[in-house]
Amino acid sequence: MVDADWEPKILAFCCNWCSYAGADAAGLERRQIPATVRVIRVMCSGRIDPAFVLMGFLEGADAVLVTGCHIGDCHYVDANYKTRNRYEFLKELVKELGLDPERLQLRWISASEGPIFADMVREVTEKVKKLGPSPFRKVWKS
Amino acid sequence: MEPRYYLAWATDEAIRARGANGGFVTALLVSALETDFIDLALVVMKKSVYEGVPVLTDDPELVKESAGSLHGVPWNLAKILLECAPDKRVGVPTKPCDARGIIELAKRRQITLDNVYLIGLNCGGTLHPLRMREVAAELYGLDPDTVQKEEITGGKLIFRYEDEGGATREKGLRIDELEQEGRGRRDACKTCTTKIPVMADLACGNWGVPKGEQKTFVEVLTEKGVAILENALNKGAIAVEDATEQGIALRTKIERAMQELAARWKDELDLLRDKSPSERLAFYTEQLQRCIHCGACRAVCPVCACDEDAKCLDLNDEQDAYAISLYNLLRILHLMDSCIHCGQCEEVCPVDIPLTLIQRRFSERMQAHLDYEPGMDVTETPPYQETKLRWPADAKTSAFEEA
Amino acid sequence: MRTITTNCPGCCIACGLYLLEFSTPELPAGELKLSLAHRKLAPMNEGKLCKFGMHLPTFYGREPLPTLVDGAETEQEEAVSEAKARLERLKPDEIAFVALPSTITNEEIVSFVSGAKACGSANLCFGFEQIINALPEDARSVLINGLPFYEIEAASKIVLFLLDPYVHYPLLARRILKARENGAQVIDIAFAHNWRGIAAETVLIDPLDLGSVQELRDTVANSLIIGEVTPYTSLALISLLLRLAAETASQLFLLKPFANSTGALLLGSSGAERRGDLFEILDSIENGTIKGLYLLETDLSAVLSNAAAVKQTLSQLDVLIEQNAFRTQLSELAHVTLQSEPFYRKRGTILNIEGRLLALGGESTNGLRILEQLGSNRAFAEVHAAVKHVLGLEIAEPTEFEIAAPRIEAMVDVTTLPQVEEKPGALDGEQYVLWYKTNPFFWAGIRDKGFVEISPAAMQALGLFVGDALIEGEHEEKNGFKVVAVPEKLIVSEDPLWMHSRVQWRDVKKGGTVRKVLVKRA
Repeated sequence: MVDADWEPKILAFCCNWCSYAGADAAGLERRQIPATVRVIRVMCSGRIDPAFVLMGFLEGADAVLVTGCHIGDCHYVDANYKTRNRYEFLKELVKELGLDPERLQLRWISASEGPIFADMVREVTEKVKKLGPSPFRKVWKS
Repeated sequence: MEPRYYLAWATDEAIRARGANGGFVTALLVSALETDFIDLALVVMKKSVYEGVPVLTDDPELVKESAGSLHGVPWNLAKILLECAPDKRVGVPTKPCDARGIIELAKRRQITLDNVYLIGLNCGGTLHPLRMREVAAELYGLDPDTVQKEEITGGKLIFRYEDEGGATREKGLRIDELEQEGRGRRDACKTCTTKIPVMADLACGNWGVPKGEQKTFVEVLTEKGVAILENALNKGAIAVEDATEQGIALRTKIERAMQELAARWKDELDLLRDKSPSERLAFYTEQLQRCIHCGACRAVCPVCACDEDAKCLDLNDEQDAYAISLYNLLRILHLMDSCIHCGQCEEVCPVDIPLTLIQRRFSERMQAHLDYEPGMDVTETPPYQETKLRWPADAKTSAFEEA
Repeated sequence: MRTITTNCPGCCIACGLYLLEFSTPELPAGELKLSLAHRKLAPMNEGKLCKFGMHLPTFYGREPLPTLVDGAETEQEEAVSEAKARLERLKPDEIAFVALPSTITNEEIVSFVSGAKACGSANLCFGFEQIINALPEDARSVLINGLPFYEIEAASKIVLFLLDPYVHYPLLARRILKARENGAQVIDIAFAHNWRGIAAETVLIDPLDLGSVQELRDTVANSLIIGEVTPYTSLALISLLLRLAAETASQLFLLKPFANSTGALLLGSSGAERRGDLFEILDSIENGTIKGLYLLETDLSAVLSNAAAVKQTLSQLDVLIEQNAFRTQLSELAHVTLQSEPFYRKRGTILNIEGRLLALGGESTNGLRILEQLGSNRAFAEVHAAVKHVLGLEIAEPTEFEIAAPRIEAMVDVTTLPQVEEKPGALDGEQYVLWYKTNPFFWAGIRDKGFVEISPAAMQALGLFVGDALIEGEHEEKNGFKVVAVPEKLIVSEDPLWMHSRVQWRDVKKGGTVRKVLVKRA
């Protein structure tokens, strides 16, 4: 379906206050992070409608990362509790659907945890390279 | 409230004779209407052996006419109640799935449950009317239009019909034999384990009634149940006696047996039980790609409370060339905690997508993980809408990580 | 709350459903809300409905057509007399009667036929005459014949011809799928693969060389060929299909739009008298030879997809009478408008494509009464008896579970079929081939998609990005696009866009698959 030397496309949702800042910090060391990740900044991980995650997969993302503030540190008090809840539903859905659940990850990353963001991207990139492109990834034959 | 068990029947002989088990439910509703205890009754009116239509009425005479049971009319009344009378005081005879749907809508603040008297009915299952006609023709050798009455008793589907000579005859076949041949009840009913409507105000049926007696076994479950029962008693519309220990035990025994049968069916009808993840993905993609986005599954779903700006409608765009449409994926996601497995969706799907199977695969395990049963307790919040954590906060592990 | 048993007026399947009528606190007193419920006992659809059937409550919620004479509110009796009087001032061959049978009952059809006859007019049109007129008798029967769906499920070999059941006749799709489950071989002859999956085998044909279908005789042999015929299907295509079926010992089954097309064909279009060709009628209106038109429950501006052109033509009329339940774009042009009841309120029968005689669950016969006043003023019972008489049903009322309509067995003599030359065409660089797939409520002006399906190659060739739109030749309306695996130069559209570019109305009959497509940037 996809070329032998395909590049994973990873979608990462980052919250404005914590994980985006962390990703930013990690970005300063960009050469150590594969260029596979596309970041979408939201004000809070609680803003991530699970539909976005599903859309990400349907559009062909090989992995979708949901990141935000640590539990208890949410800028909007407790919205990340909802993120966690929704993630459990999404994880179960992805599993039952038949997608490898490793393609969906949730991690709490604070602004000072740049290296953790970098680690996450590297980890997921490796995993996805082994798993292969998402079955939803389409290549149009002209 | 401690449940109480009674045997009850209508004092009016005509109602008693017309009812399936002594006319208790009919008498209850008729007296409730006559005393202005309720504004309306939502009943199913028989048009033929294979057809019954919902009637929302304040006329006790219509309620009397609707007495009796029908096994070939798989309605779910929750949506009708929602559309036509969400705030009125209504008495509704409900199969467990009707009651569960109403309770789910009440959780979503669409129906004022305090005003709704759920007269629960035990349910072994219903049949699709056209399949019933086919069974009458092909397995019973009858002209379906000569059938005057149908009953399910002692595990048999019995048709009473008029033969060529004009005589009235009866023919019965065992339901489990019919089902071995792929006929019989709807798939959703075969796999349903909620046989006694303990989520309702009253649970009524004939399990536990001594053979031959024209009485209804009634379990009183809530204060509202007590109230409507006492209202009928005070009016002299019903007579009541205590149920026997034997009767109670027998009822539980029948329920258990049906639940065990349902568990076996669940297994047998689970086409995806032994499939690998990629096989499942292929199945879901192939089945759901037929979807023509008619919206019927959402319209009939007793749990779906969103109106026209529902996310599954709003975010879905047929112009997207997605392998599975967002409409379908969002409906799956949003029903993972709340699907009551009533099977209405599959019955109305114009392209025969096996929606009951699909929704069950996603929702059954999730509901078990959540230790949550939708449609049972109106004070519970659907987990998907909760803020509080049900699982450890540690993001790296999931409470139900499994191989 | 009232539960009304009714049928959907969309396509020839006439799906059964319930409409629920009830009052709500939000509505003013007397006004009722409509909702629907699925009638699982209905044999043709098992209660299932397509997207358009699901929207029937909205369809019936449109603005009613008031009874007017020259724009002034008038009592019905007076308006009908006025309509009659104005028609009587014209010569018989100056009047046309047009009724596309979506929302009219068998009784109304019989009445309309009598009315036209009483007027002496031969310009009576139910939508298919332009094809029927050109066919020999036996071929006409094949066109008219219906088929019970259980026979589709039991067929051993089915060939779909340029038919996408999911789009054209959604409730047909599951019958084909059942047939496959029962072991049938299903072959899809089309311009592109059906991405929803309907057949195990697809044979792609070149839309520019329809004659090549003749080479598929072996593929098609001894099968049930399922296709469709609409008011704007070309005679060439129908002739081709008839020939193919006859030469390969195959049965031909043609679906049609409009719930009661079978009723119209058996009760209205059959018989030896010449029938009115819709497009010749329109051309005659344009050139002034036809001066009066009685439009029965038909919105020509919606059916023919070019409201401006239809209005322009009809504005030439001296007498335009519109009888309908709802306002249309033509109502402002009508000299006399007569209000009939909405379809679900009618008392009467229709015939679906399977041949089932279906009794509608309404109580009103107002529409019929208006029509009868043009002719013999018969009561409902008498007209209903006439319907049964024509259908050969003398005894008791058939139930919906019986097949009531006669199927006419006929051997088609291919030498009598019209020979229509179909020379293979060619495309220049900017041209694409249009394949239109209309939805079941197309005749009501309902457009569902707002986008066309194009190939990835076309997307690249046209340099399209998300948000860009396509327009066809002279037609203003923009369409978004969706990339689907179709042949490079094929565009699938919901809307027969070519109707906007005809010179004369009779050009529409020729069909129009080759169009120029332009890009309109977002």
